[in-house]
Amino acid sequence: MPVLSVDNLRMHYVLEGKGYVKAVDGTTFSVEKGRTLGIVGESGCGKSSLATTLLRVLPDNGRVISGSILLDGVDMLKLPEDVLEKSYRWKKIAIVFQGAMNSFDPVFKVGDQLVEAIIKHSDLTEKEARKRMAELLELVRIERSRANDYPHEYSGGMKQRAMIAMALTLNPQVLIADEPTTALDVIAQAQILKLMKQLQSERGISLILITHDVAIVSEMSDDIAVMYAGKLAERGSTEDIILSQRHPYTKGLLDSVPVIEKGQRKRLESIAGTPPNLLDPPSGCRFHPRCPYKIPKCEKEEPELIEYEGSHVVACHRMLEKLW
Amino acid sequence: MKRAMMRSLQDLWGVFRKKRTGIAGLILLGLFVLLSIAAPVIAPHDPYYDQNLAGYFAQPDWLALFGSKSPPNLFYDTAAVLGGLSDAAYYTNGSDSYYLANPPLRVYVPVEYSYNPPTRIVIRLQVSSAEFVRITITRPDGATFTFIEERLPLSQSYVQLEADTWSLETRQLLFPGLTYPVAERELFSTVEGENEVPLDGTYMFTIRIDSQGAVKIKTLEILMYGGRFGLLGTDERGRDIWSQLIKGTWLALTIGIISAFLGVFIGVTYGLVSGYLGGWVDETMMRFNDILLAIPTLPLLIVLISVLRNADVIVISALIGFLSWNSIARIARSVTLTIKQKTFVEAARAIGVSDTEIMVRHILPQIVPMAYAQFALLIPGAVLTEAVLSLLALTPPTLMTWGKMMSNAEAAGGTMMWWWTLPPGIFLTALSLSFVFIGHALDEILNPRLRRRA
Amino acid sequence: MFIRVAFNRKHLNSILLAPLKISCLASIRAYVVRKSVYLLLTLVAVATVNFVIFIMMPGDPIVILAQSARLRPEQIERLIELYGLRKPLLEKYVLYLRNMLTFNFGYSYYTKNAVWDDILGRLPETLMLVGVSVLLSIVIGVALGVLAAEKRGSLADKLVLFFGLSGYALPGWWIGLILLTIFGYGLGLFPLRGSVTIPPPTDAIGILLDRLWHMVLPVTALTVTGFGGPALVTRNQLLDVMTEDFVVVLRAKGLSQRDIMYKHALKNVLPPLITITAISFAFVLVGAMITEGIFSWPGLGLYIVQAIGVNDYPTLQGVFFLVATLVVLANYIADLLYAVVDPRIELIG
Repeated sequence: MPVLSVDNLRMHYVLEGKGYVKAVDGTTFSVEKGRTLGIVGESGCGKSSLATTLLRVLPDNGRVISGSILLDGVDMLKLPEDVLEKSYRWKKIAIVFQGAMNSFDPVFKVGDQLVEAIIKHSDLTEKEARKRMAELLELVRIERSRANDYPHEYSGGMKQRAMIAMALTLNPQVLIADEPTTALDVIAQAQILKLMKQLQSERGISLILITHDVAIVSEMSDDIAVMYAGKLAERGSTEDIILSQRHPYTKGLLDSVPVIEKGQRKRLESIAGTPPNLLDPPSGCRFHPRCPYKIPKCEKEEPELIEYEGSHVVACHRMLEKLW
Repeated sequence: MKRAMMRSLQDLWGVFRKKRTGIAGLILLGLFVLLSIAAPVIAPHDPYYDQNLAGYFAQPDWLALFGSKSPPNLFYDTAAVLGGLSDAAYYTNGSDSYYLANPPLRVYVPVEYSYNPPTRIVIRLQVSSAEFVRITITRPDGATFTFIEERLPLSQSYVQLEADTWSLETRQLLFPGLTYPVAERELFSTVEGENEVPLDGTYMFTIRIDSQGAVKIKTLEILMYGGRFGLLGTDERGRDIWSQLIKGTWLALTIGIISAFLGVFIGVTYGLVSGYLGGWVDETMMRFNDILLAIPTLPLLIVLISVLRNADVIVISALIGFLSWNSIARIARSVTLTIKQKTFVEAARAIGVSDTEIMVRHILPQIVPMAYAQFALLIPGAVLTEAVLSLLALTPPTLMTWGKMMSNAEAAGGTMMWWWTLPPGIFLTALSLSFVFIGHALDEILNPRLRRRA
Repeated sequence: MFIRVAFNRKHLNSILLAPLKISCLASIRAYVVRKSVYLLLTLVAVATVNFVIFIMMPGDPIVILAQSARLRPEQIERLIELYGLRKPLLEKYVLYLRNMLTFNFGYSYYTKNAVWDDILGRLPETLMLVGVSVLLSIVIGVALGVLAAEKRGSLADKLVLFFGLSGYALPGWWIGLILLTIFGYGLGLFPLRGSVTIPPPTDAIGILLDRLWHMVLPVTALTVTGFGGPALVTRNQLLDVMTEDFVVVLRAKGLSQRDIMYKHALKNVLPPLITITAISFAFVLVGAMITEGIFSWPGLGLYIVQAIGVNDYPTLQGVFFLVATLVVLANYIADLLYAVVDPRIELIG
């Protein structure tokens, strides 16, 4: 029984006077306990919207249209706000945002903000909560004394690690990491990834890793879901996706990873065109304007997510053909 | 650049149309503009020079509907007095027009009167070739009082006689021994016990002119100044308050627009240049700007204008404008800084486009929308500042703005005359509000943070 | 008037932080020094402006002094000495600066006293009025601003917006006039002039109550126009903060909108609130000077009105300088408080 199960989730933003931005347009996936799901796609494909939808912290103009989000068997979309606040958010599911985002309130000390999360959801006294907070900071290799500093005094990598510590305060079952390594230098990146892997094995957390970086996702995830224009293009185990991808977009993504190997002189590939406008997406298969393998059918009919082999599902009319 | 500006104007209008506060402000403003334009028609009197239109501190005419017994103006001009007489005929002889009448001339002017006493009575007579003139008034209770009684030297040229209840002479004639000005009340009311009761009924003016031969009467008018006039009464010099109010609109708009324009013009230029030049020049300019920003303008204006007494509208507006550009300079500079960082500016420079051209053609159009909002927001401040200056009697008395109206009211002790003190304030507030709403709506459009998080 | 100042948080920050950012890692001490220098420079600038006006005055100042003032001859001599009226321009300027900065404003043409003495006598009255009005304006303004931000888009929000904006458009002194007419002359509920009844009550409570009773109308007039700015700034800044990234994280942490608004957002808007308090002080101070005339309140305002009537230049310039000083001082204190409240301005690094 998967810990988190998302079924046919649809969500859009209302743009006054202009229409709806269909950021998440029918996605289905699930995560098992203790495993990592990587969600890849270009910027603007709806990944981050998916993240905020899962926690139901959408902005004022975001609306969930249909679908279900089953966490531990309970549909989060049907829960009232106060139940979400008390029992679900942060307790069962937490999130770590991009390093570029200011995840901390600049006028409160970092330590206080961690303690805030602890106290809000448990019965620990202030003293106990502070102790817990110090332990967490240690876990992410931040000195205890730094708890009394303000966020602007932390480096980028430190902030990200502190953010992870904050996410873990209540021992959530699911941790969503939205672009956790963007805006970090390579060394910090490696540290964060190593940390996350370690935490996962120690605590049995299910990790949803959202990123555009294919390399990271291939290294960290057990399963991968490829998103394009708000929809899933392909989904399966990491092995399936990396070694036997069936969607042209996935292939394009994998091909665009630069190869630095002795003797190899490969031209840097990229996917032609630009990501579609989610306000008015292309007809039929959303990828067709940029697909090197398109046929007339692609323009008219939207491909369904069909099983290719076991847990490997693909949404492409030509998935059975050997295109590469 | 013009085309880009036009297009952005259209876009701006498209979004602005939907903002209710902005539209409300615009409609209100439109009303004021209409009033300004219609002023010559609906408010014909000059706000300063047309004095003595009725008594001083007259009430609005329509208060009579609510039972006020304040008298209206009852003016009987020459034609009214002499026109119907069979004995008098009207002649025009080039520039001279007169009534020719044969002696003895007796004119009777009955006046039905059931109001409070009039505020002033003036009787004027221009006659030639007359020997004796007597003008009296007979009250409903039979008592008769004399306005004019004179033996004239025989003369072919016109002799001018005048009786005015406000002059000591006339009062002495009417009521010998009466030195203080209550002649009208003495005439038109009686004392019953402790109270003064208005005497209603028919009052008769009798004009008697004796002469040898025919007399020429150029002017014979009886003016009974009332206590009510027009839509908003009169001020301390008998001027029409309604006209002052309406004409004040135009003044307010002028002052507001001139000041705001100057403020925006100087501010934008200063900020643009400062931001564009950058470096220590920018820093110095901004420090200077901030220092000026910290100086409170109103007290400074008070000192300035007391020194430059009798500055006219233009000078005052200019001064107000000169003191208001500092905050705009800051905003213009920050916009400039944002744009300056965009690569197309560097590219333009590399191509060899001159600095001035970059500033004017590329950066300025981006500042203009913001300037609209600031322009609108400056106007209420300017109008209110002028109102304060008027209140403190620092503006010339002939500049009859709304502030001046309120100042006059307060100085003349007319605080109870709400038709005098309320309307200017309401108009002032309404006009300011309209610009505040428009400016606020524009500001909301141009300040993206105030929109909902998207 | 405060409409001029833009209320975008970034602008407020840049007004105060600009000198800081440009010179990077500044410690608190350097910050205070910088702000103090600013204070001094501004006062010098104000005095200079005053000097320019002084020079601009038509006619020979010595003659004017002798004629219009009817001061005692020794006072006139002292003034000539004080202002260096017989000396060359530069010396005059330096002397003038020194006088201004030591609050040595000469003698009033009207009262014949030293202007500074006159001011000292009247200043407390004005400050009392201003102090109470500013306090009320801030308290009411902030409360309404929070209400409006919490219930964004609702009727309450729209009303707060409307009345807050109206504060910019309303002439405070006119409100005072209306209030006086209705409640003073009309209903007879409040006194018509002055700040105390004559003769004043003898017991402490009586005195206090009497003063409060006299303050009601003028304070109401000043507060009605004064609360708009704080209300709008609070509302806008709060909404601004609510669009920040960390608010999303706070919601994800399970905090309710109320929690976020009252605990986090409010603390974040403290810096702009301090700034708007300083601005409100300046606004209400200037407003009070005019409103005092309406209520015959024995403060600086009435003093100015009398001074204008008789072209009492020393008084006008003196009061102007004092008011400017008070305003600049208020901003200065606000800047210092700003550093205390915003941790980002502490020792960096």
